[in-house]
Amino acid sequence: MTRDPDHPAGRASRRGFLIGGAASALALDAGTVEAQQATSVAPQRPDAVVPPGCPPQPGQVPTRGPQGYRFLTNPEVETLTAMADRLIPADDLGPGAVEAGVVTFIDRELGGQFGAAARWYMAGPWAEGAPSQGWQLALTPAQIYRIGFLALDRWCLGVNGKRFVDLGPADQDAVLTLLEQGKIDLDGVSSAAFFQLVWQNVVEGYLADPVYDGNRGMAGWRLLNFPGTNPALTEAVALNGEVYRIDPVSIGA
Amino acid sequence: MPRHMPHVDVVIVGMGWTGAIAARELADTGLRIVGLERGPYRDTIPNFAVPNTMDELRWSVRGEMFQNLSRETVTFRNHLKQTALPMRRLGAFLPGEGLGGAGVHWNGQHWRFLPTDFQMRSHNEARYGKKAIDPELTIQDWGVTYDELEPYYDKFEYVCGTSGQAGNLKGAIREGGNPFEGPRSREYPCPPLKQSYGPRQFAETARGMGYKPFPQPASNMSQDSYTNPDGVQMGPCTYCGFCERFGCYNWSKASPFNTVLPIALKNPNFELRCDSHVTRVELTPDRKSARGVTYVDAAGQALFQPADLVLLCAFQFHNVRLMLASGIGPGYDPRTAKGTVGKNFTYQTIAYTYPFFANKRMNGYAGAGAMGMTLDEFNGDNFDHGPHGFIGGGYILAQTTGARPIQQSTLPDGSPSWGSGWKRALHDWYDRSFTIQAHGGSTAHRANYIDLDPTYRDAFGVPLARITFDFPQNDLKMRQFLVDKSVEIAKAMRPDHLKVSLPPVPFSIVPYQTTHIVGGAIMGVDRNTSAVTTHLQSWDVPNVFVHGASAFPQNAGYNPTNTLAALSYRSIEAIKSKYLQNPGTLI
Repeated sequence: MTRDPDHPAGRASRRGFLIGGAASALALDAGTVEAQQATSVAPQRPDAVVPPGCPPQPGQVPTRGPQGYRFLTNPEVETLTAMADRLIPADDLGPGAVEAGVVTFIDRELGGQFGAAARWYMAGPWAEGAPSQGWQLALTPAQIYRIGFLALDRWCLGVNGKRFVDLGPADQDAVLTLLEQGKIDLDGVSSAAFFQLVWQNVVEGYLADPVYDGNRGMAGWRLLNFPGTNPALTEAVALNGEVYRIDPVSIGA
Repeated sequence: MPRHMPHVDVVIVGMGWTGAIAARELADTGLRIVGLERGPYRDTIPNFAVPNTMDELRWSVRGEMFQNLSRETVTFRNHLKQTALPMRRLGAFLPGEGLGGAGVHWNGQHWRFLPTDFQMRSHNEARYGKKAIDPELTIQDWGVTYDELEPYYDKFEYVCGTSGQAGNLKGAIREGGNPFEGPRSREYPCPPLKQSYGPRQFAETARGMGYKPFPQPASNMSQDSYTNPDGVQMGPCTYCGFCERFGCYNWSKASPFNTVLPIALKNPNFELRCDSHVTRVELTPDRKSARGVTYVDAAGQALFQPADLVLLCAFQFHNVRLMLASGIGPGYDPRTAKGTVGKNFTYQTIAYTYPFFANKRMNGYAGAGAMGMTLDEFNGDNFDHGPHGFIGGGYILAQTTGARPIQQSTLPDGSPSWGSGWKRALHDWYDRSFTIQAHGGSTAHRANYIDLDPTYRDAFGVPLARITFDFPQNDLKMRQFLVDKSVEIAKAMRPDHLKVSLPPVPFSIVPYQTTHIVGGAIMGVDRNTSAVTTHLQSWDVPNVFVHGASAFPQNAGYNPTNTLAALSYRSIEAIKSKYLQNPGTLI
């Protein structure tokens, strides 16, 4: 697992534990996950595990990778986790996108109908068109993530000598700003379109119903005092500017 | 060769509002009727039950109940010199798909048009002179009057349990209602909805400025219960804030499910076939009569449904596309301004103003699709346009349809677009504003029309409809006028911030504006300038009737549903009282 000397320890370890497992993330802290991985693999085959990135020799097995993601690869999980952590950080207002499970949310979305552009018109011929004609990319959201994340790491390595995940927060913010402004070429994908897609999905994962694995603990809704799926709100209509306090309810909760 | 189905008397294409109304109204004729719906079967229960209907991501963001564009879409361009490209993702408008059509995810904003709206050309020429109207505008009179439509407006309001307050009862102006509306024969069936804090404050401020705000007419049930004239019941609106873009869980928002479909489906002579996508109306070789329709079922099989009478009740551009693809009537050519089918595609001209109040919660999540307080001073010809250089207008509406966090979190201009600053702004400003919408009409322009795309096709091989549209200068002037008025009132509320949001010019297919796309199969009294008669009957193929907003010669400054329903009721009544006895062109 990559360690970044520029990162505060807490941030790096949080990233580490999230990569360690999508489904169980909230229940455990970083140390627990790392300890669990060590005890579950190491005692039985003390010499069989090869270091990350090295091809295994006969008799060895590869390192156990992050578990629980359907679509995203390990480096994509690392990059997306780092991005989401800058886009909606944890702070005194409450949990950020990472704590709210946005990475898992996006993984599920990309592996499903949304990632496949299942409801978009995707027949050619393709042309760039005018801005008023809207989205004209021949790529699905899943393809845009795949191409965009690879190209972004290549760009970061070329410019900074480090992958995005290994940059400090200020440098990461600077790269995000360049992406947002469309100033980085991502193998032919507009970085502004790439950024908007990621940003849209991060916001969705932060504020959609927890039934989609994001918005854990209804953290996004609690930030806003949004009542969720409480259907009977008639009494709130009569209020005169004061807040209507009600515990949020989610689908299935 | 498609398999032939048994012959029926009537085939209805599309089972949204107009198709369901037609099926309901024809139920007592004894005619054998088949209704073909391209989307799936669905009903309030189980498809729109709580809590799953209150799912912003699924329904509103991913658009699960809207038209599936992977099978068919439209192509779009701003002007003739551009190459039209497909609308690949939903944006500016949201057509429905499935039983009930867009009547399931509408808001319930239940307006009548103004009497003068129906004489858009003759009235404006008479008042302002021919020179006051841009020669490029192809606005027309409708061929029907408000008074002729009034009984059908009234009927649909009672079918839907519409809530509101009459402003003009048989000619007597009534306090608290819309003083500009045409005379109505009786009160609304239900009293107005409750109003939330923001719109109440807006109305008070506007009243202080001399305006006459009134509650927006709403087909969201304001009473504990309501039973319509057919005996169908509605439940009370609980202000859940999941109305537009969602199916109503409580039978509170009028939709085909809780109004006309239950009656239609009880008719043993009516057969509903969902997942049945009509690709063509089949004509006799002389193109003067329809033999029936070809459609593709869920399994992909092509079938031919013979019928004596074909009612096209699909969404606006589907009606137009079916006419063009089937050879019903002459296609419109913008270069010569000849031809009728596809002519006068119009939209709606929208702008938003948001006043923000740092220390007030609007509780906007306690919303309903059609709750809100409206001003009609600047709609239609309710004011003297003399000094302004445009015709038409729109209403100004303060509303809270919900405060759904992904799509309805409006932040002040200058807020950071992401990061901790964005999070702080979201925390500080969420639910601190409400929407003041300027909802303007749309004048027809010679160059705005629909034809068949030369390149792109749907999943069944039929050319897509090609929309060519941009906002006429007349409408942009009108929009600015409405925005100025909106801002004036918003400023008088002394907000901490004020944000104005104008959809892009040229018109863009990207940001949602409204689903009120109209025209293309317009009605009128002259077969050289309209595609259908005032009874919605094709001039060229008299056993085809074309229902819906495709019949509007141009759009008024109101939401279209009540008017398109009224036109359907009037058409079906004429079919029953005249056409069935003596099939032929009804004048």
